Amino acid sequence: MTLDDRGRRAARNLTQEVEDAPLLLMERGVPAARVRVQQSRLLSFAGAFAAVVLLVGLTLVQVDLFSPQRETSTTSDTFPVNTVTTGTTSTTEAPPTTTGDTVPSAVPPSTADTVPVDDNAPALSITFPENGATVAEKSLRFAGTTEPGAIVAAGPYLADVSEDGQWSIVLLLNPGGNLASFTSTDGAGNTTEASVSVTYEVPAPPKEEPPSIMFTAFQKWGSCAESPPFDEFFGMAKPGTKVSVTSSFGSASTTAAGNGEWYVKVFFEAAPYGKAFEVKARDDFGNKVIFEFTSLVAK
Amino acid sequence: MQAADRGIVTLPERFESFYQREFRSVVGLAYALSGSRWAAEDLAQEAFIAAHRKWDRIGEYESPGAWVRRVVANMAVSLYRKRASEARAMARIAVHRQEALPALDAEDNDFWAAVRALPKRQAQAIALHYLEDRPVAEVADILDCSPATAKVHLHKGRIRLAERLRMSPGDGS
Repeated sequence: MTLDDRGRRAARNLTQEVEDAPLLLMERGVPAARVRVQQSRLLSFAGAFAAVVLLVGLTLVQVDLFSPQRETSTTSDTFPVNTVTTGTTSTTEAPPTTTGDTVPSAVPPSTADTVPVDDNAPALSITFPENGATVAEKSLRFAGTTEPGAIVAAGPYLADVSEDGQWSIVLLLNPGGNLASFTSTDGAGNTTEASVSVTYEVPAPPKEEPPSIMFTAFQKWGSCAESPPFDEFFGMAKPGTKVSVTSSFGSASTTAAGNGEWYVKVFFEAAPYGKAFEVKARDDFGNKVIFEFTSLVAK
Repeated sequence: MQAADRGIVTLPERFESFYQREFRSVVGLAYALSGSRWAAEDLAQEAFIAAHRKWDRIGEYESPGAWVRRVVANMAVSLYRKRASEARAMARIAVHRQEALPALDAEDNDFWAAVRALPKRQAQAIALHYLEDRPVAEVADILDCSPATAKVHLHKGRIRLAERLRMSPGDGS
């Protein structure tokens, strides 16, 4: 056998021993652990106190034993005598003496001492959500009822259980189908399982509106001495919309690009020399900007 | 575990479920390193209570289990050495006191006694290696040292353990 073989076997046996042993602290979690700490301290104190009392008692008994006036045990007044009937015979169990040397006789256990065995699985229901439900929230609080005092868990995670057995736990769902399984374990270790199927439909993201673009228009020249006279206009408008530049002496239109920019060159061939006139730039929504243009081309 | 397997992911783990899942294995570690079945449960309890007090912070750790094991491993070795020291003192005044592990057979008992006799870090590394089959990186995380250091502790511990048990260390890591 190698060291590893022996180590693993020793580890396996030790783990098994721990697994097999009842761990009281496991039953009720940390509050029980705290209680146990307090109990152990109390027990230590009580043990020390009991030892002192016993020592004093023993001393008194020894004194009494050597006292000629004392012939019977004083403890018969303190401890009740237990009489147990077995069949047709009746046996009397001697009370424990203060010296503690009395060994109780073999007596069948009284029926009054019998502890009923709970082998009933705890009830477990899921009240929310309904099986097959479709939800739009990623975080969902599951809820239900179980036997009061039972522990409800979803995998390794524990639900909150109220004193009357109402339980709830928040779980996060993955998109699509989810199967949430719960177990309820009562104090006797009986377990019940229940599960619920839930579909998480991720809500469609809201359609993204392009940022609103305010209509703007700018004029590049304002006058022109070249023939034919022209001007250039540009600005921003809602993408894909038509922008028109009009006047009495020449017009043109264009469509705003995807980023909202627009540009148009307008020729004013019939424009009179030296006389300013209005040029309007407008979009489909009625927004407009008015400019003036003057032709410097003599006829 | 079906819920987790089938796609449900929960919120950050609550202390109670961490406690339920880890307590027994931490008791096992404490048992191996302290040599006392009952002290082991108390040691584990103390470590978990300490973790509970600071759960807001420890719960955020990548591995809260490593923190608890580090605390328990240190407490268990300290306890064992204190008890061993007391036992030697008792032996000097001719009072024989055997700290037995009644639930383990003699061979296993010898093995863990040999582990406990190793230097502290080697004993902790060996216990984590055999008990929980943890890789070197996780042993290093628990012992709060580098993986290289943890590997050295494991290597030296195995050699010394094999010598004590008169066995071949084999070719394990």
